[in-house]
Amino acid sequence: MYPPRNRLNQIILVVLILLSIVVITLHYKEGEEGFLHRTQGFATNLIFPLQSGVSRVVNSFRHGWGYIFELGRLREENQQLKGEVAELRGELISLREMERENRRLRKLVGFKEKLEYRTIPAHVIGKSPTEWQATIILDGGSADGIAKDMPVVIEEGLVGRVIEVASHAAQVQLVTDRKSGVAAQILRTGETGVIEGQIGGELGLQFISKDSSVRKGDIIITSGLGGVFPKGIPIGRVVEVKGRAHDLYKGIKVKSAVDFSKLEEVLIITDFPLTPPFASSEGR
Amino acid sequence: MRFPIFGFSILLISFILQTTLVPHLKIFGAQPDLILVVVAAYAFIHGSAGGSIGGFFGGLLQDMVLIRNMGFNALCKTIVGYLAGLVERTVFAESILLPVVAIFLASLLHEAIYLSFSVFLGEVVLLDLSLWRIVIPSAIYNAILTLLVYPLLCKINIYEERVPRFK
Repeated sequence: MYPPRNRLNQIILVVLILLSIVVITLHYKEGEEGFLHRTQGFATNLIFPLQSGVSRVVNSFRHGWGYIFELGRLREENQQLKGEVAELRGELISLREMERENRRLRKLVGFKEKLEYRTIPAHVIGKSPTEWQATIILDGGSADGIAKDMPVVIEEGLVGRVIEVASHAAQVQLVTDRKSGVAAQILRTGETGVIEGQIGGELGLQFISKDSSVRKGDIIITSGLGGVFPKGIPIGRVVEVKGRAHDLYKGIKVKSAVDFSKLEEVLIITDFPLTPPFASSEGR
Repeated sequence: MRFPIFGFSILLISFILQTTLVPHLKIFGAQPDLILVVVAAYAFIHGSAGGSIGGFFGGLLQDMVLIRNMGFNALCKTIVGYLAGLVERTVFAESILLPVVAIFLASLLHEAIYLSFSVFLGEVVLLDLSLWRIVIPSAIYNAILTLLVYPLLCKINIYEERVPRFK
């Protein structure tokens, strides 16, 4: 009984491994317009309504659970008001959430007005399902005017760039992704380098000469040299500078100005002109 | 055919939670891989065929929203699902601790295969940083998540009288 079953399991395993290798190879070799890339766009569109719905529930719960505990204590003290409290609790959570969202959006609108570029706001509805890649999914796509390579920002600083676009959703490669590269500048000294994402969500500033006077606390901004991101967007602050005698460059760690774990709304810059061939030096 | 509907529904739910809820549950920067936990737990209950098929489609779902290396997760999870299925449910009937340890090991194996293929395709991988920042914390987190996921999957399967009840 067992040998035929085991044999079948092994055949299934081999077939699936071969299929996976075919997918890896095709995806690696085909262009942006290839079948698998288009399938990814289609799948993103398909799961977008589900992600969007769950994301709203998750965000409401995340913001409201503290209030639930607080009101839960009151409920114990005041049993006769249980019904009223439950009703008020719902309203309170909803109002606090609205107030919070209102504050966030007002901040975003203020920032949007300050920016010299035209922007589109979008909600974050999903995040990368694996830690090996740092991406987010937005609820806006090509139907809203979003296109590949557009820079994504918030008031605190640079978020990343649009890397895949479906009609109603877009995927953004965060600056913390380990394949991300952003042309950067040390604000105080004017020296330019490249900000690269690192494992664990940190940023590293590369190609800064060992003779540089860069120090902890220095502000890092986009240099605009890569052609993808406009000049002057804050990236973060230097938190560590290392330099050994035999190294050509300093080892510089930068802490992003953006808290990527709390991203909810972002702005996509839609009218910054990409300047090829430099564009290829930024991004993945 | 009950398997496809049951299995795919669970995988789809896991995938949606993985991209929406799970990123908010990070502890010290570590994020669990709910799909891997579900695939391994499913394999413990249903054996190697269910494990490898579940692993393939679960991984492929994950790959659908990744910007590079499409197929990596499908490949890793197919292999892990198959191997997890080899030990099957008879080993785990008595204690929840065994699947917890098994999923910890399955997570390490998954990341080892993932890293090996990344290196094979020419990616630069900082091994010590990857190990301490991602591989080990995630494996611990996955093991903890097993305490919730495995009994839940077993309970669903009790209806099918395929799994012995926990004491």
